[in-house]
Amino acid sequence: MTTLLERNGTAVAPSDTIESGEWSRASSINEGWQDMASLTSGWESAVLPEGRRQGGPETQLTPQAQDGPESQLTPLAPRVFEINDDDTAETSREALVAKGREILDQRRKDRRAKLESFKAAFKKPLGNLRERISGTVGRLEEGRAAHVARATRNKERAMLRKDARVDARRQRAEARQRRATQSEILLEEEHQSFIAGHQTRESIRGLKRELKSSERRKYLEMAEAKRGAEAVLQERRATYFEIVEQLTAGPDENADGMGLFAQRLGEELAHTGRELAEAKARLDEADKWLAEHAEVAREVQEIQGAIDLNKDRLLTLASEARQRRDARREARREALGDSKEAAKSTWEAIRDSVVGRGVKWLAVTARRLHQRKKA
Amino acid sequence: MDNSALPATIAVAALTVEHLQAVGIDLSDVEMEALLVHAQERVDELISEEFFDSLSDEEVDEIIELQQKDSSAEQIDKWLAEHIPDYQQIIEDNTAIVLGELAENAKDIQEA
Repeated sequence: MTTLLERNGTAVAPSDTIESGEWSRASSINEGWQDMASLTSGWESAVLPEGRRQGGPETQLTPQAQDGPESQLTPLAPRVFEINDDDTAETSREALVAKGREILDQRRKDRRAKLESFKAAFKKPLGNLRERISGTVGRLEEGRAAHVARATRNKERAMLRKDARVDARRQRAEARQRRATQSEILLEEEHQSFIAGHQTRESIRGLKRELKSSERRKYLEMAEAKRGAEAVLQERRATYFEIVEQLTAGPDENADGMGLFAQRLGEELAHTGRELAEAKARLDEADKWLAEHAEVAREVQEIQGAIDLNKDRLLTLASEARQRRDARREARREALGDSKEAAKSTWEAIRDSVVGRGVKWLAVTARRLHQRKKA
Repeated sequence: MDNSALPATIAVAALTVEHLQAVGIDLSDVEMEALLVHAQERVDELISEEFFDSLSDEEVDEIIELQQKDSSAEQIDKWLAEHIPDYQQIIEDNTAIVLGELAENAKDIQEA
């Protein structure tokens, strides 16, 4: 085994090293462990007598001890020394125990020292690690802050989107309400328009009816006016020619009377001429109006013709119906005799009685049944 | 004006606006309706009068009793057909008579 302990660059005995406690080098953990191995060698050579060093108790390093940590150092159980001299044996044992304690203390110190060394060796890496951790933490902080900011922004955006959705929903609801209201308004307007249209149609119907009736009346009035104007015209024309004839018949015996007569005839002639002109004007007006309303005139004539025809036909049918009714009455009178006639004479009184009401109901029922059968 | 509404023979029991228009009566809807009701009542009155004349006292009592029993329309119809031989003719003739009256008075009605 090679001793690696040195003091100030010079190899020293292990015992010296232990006493001084000065370590000049422990370049590595492994080397430190190798120093420990040397320490045990030193302990063997320093404590045991020369003659007992060989074959005596020794501490062996396990193969792992050369590479592994301190805890892997497994001391072998001390061997039983064979000492004949009791005093010498007692002294050696005490020394051995003390030295053992010392060595154990030293081991503890060494472990602490190695721990410090270990710490020192890892100080920078640890520092870097802390820096890295710090950086990481910083980045984490930044990330967290960014995350928080992002989350905040997202939340704000979500709130904005939610508000926008709510607003849009509200706007849609309002739009629907507006449309519904508008629809109701339109419906109401349409309804009112329909009513107004209906009223207008009714009004137009009434106006047309009134207009037609009015035009017909006007037509008839104008036709009457024309006939009147023609009659006046004929009359005045006759008067006019009569006067002219009197004027041209020759002078009267009485010149004064003749002059007065001529004056009267002249006035009459002028008056007749005016009336004749007025009648002619009315006649022309009637002709013009009738010409302008030829369509109405035709319609009036057609309608009137149809009405007259219907009236004639209805009057004929009614007359025939009356004849049949009278014949039936006569037949009933003959069949039923005077008693029924007496009853008939009181018909007006009976009609309002219960019997009368029943008969009236009977007539209504019969008419309806007849109508239904016809349909 | 639809003059074709007027039948060749009066075989109707219910008067309509067309009947009135056919004889030259052209009033407002309200007036036309009132005139129709009046004319229909006149027709009913004439028919019922002639029905009464056609039936004996016992038959009148019988038809009233039949009515009071809430007999069906078919039963009433059957009874009338059995007891009034000129039943259909009576209805048609009295309708024609009233239409004739309307035709005679159309001008006065229109100008009233």
